[in-house]
Amino acid sequence: MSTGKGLVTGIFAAAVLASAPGTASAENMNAELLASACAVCHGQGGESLGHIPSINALSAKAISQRLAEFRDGKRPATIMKKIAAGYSDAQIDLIAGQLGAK
Amino acid sequence: MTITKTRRQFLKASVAAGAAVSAFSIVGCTSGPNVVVIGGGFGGATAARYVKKFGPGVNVTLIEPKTSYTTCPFSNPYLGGLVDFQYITHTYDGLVMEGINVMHDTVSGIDANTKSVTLAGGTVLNYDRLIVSPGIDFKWNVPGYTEATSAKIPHAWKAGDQTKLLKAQLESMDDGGVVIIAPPENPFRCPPGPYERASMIAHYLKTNKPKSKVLILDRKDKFSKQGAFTEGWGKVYGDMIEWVPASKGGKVEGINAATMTVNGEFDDYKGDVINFIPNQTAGKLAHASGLTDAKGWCPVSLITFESTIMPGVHVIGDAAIVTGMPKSGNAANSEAKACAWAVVEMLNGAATVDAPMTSNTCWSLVSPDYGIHVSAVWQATEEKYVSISGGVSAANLPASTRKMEANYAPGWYENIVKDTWNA
Repeated sequence: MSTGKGLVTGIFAAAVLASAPGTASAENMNAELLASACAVCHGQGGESLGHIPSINALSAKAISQRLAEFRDGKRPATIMKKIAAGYSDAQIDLIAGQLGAK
Repeated sequence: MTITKTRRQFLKASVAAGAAVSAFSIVGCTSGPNVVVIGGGFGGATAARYVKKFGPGVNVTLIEPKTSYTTCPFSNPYLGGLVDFQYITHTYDGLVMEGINVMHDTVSGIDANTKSVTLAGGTVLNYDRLIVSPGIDFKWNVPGYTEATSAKIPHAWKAGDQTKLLKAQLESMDDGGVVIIAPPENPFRCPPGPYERASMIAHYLKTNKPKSKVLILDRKDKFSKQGAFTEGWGKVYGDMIEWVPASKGGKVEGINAATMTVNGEFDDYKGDVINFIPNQTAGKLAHASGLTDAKGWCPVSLITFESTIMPGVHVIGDAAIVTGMPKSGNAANSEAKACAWAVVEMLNGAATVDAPMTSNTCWSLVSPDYGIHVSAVWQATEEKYVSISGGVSAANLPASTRKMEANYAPGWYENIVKDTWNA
């Protein structure tokens, strides 16, 4: 589920330096941190323990599509419209790429 | 609301597995940077787990005096008789299983110069980065209400024996009694909590003692999810719950435990059970370590959660000043992940850390079949967490939606408990 990241990686430090301090954009925000928010409701790796649907069987494409539909009000929702509206298209793709079934 | 998981069986399985791995994790703590986390609640436990996830080579030690943790979330459904005490109590075995060194001890001192933590047991731990999640403490500043008084008039705002005491009092109260709940002033842990508590106590009373009443004496004039709670109370409980705002006499000015009386600004109110929730400040450890400002909370960088007072020490959760976000278990979990990310980046030598996004989702149960939510997504800036989206359950939704959300509440709880304690 989580790949983690190796300590002391030159590539990583370089990527960070390329971004302006204290700003976030879809390009530099880490997908793993972004997607970690979903676990509180949808479970570890998208495998839910209770009544909230699991999302671990969905492909990245399906997750992207559903999040966009929630955000645009094209899919019925209790809270997912409000949550999906917090993220840009690029961020949705990062999250989906992280959580989508491999 | 339906509970889907038998926690008893689950805990048993983790204990066995945890015991087998714990010896190994200590042997493994030889190279790599050291992160020490103090406090095993939603903030601290999540931080410990996620530092390990984001930086598998980091040695993570979690210090927590208690061997099990009882959560405030779902302590209200416990009061309402919907779940048992075990459902809201979790061990640290799941963290041990993941290679986190869990020490059940008390911190006697933090030294930011030598980057070390001294424990009451005498152990000195060196850290490269320290994360502190000290939770809240109470201000005993209402005349007549002291820590000793809480043995008769429970606050039940740190879950555990206080929660059990309040439940026992509700159970021994006669039908026709008055239960007074007195919520605190802002800021406090879990803004919708006192009002979910009123709901769950009303559920218990409606089921078992229907002539009784819940009286909320509030030190505020508005509260979280107010419209959604008020609509739900009317639909489910009629006039069983009465809310008295500060401006209409709800402001508590004193407590008389001997006569079980709450002194309001205009009137005195007698209760058969009184749940007084004191005003709050950062946890004791934050004060003792010098991490608090003049107002009693911990100022931090909103990007890295590093204390602006003490370099190398990060503060998360209810004790931290995270402008724009509520003090809640989910918020602490979200802050912990952002902090864990920043800590691993800093250990990697990153020159800057990107401003994180955080989120909070919280369901409250009006009744076992009636759930309401508040949800938000934030973008951090140097000055505050800016809400990008979010909101509260709409008015007049069909009963089927309320029922669905009532089931999402334990769904959320079971998943966030797993995410936090691996329990």
